[in-house]
Amino acid sequence: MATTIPVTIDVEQLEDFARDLDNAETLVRAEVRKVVAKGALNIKTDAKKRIGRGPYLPGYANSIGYDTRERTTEISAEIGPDKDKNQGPLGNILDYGTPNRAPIPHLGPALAAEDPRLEKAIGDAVIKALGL
Amino acid sequence: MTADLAAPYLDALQAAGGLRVFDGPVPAKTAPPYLVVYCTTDVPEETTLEDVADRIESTAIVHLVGSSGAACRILSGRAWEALVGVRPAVPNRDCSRIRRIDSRPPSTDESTGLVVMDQVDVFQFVSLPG
Repeated sequence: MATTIPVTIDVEQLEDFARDLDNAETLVRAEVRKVVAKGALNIKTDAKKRIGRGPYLPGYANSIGYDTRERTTEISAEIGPDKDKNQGPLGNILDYGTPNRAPIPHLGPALAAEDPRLEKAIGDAVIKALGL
Repeated sequence: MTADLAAPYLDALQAAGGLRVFDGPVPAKTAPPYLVVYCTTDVPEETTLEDVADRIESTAIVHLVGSSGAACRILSGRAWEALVGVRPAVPNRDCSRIRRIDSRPPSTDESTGLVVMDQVDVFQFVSLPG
């Protein structure tokens, strides 16, 4: 008859880790929500700074805002001029120009500038939420 | 430097042949078809110490102006063929290939004093010190 060797495995830490993973979705969502809102705010602020105010654009900068939206698998933000606000409808003309008026790119460059920071912040947020 | 970064767009479009290319706003009442190219450069801020601070994004906002939506789409195709995939040769810079990053469908434009259709395509390449 073979000798039996009792083996004891302590799974307490494994259970803790499993619990952390169960909670991860809620934690990651909360962290990413904050990061997306902060990123949207940064883009809005940068776009306003780039376009500035002048004698012909007294109200446009103040028309730039953002909205965040949350779905089951997605957290997103929409940033740009509110067309119902003073000079808000000028957004496309300013960002792209017209055949006889040069553009003042401000929304695209602001988004491009924030892109790497946002990517890094989301990575950090996930690591923080998972407690890694 | 800025001129060197704009040249690849203008040279490639002018070399395509048959395209009337304006480097900046067109005179009033210019009859289509033609292209208007606005070149810009941007230096996105670095995010970490390892990032290269002098990465330059060179962007061309190209207005494709025709008498109809179909004419704009033909011009758009010609601009695509001339630019997309080209790797610019800029002194002392290592450049990525040009890609199209944005496009707005044709819409009516009266800014020149003539009613025309204007489509906007946006192209970009990124460069690092070579």
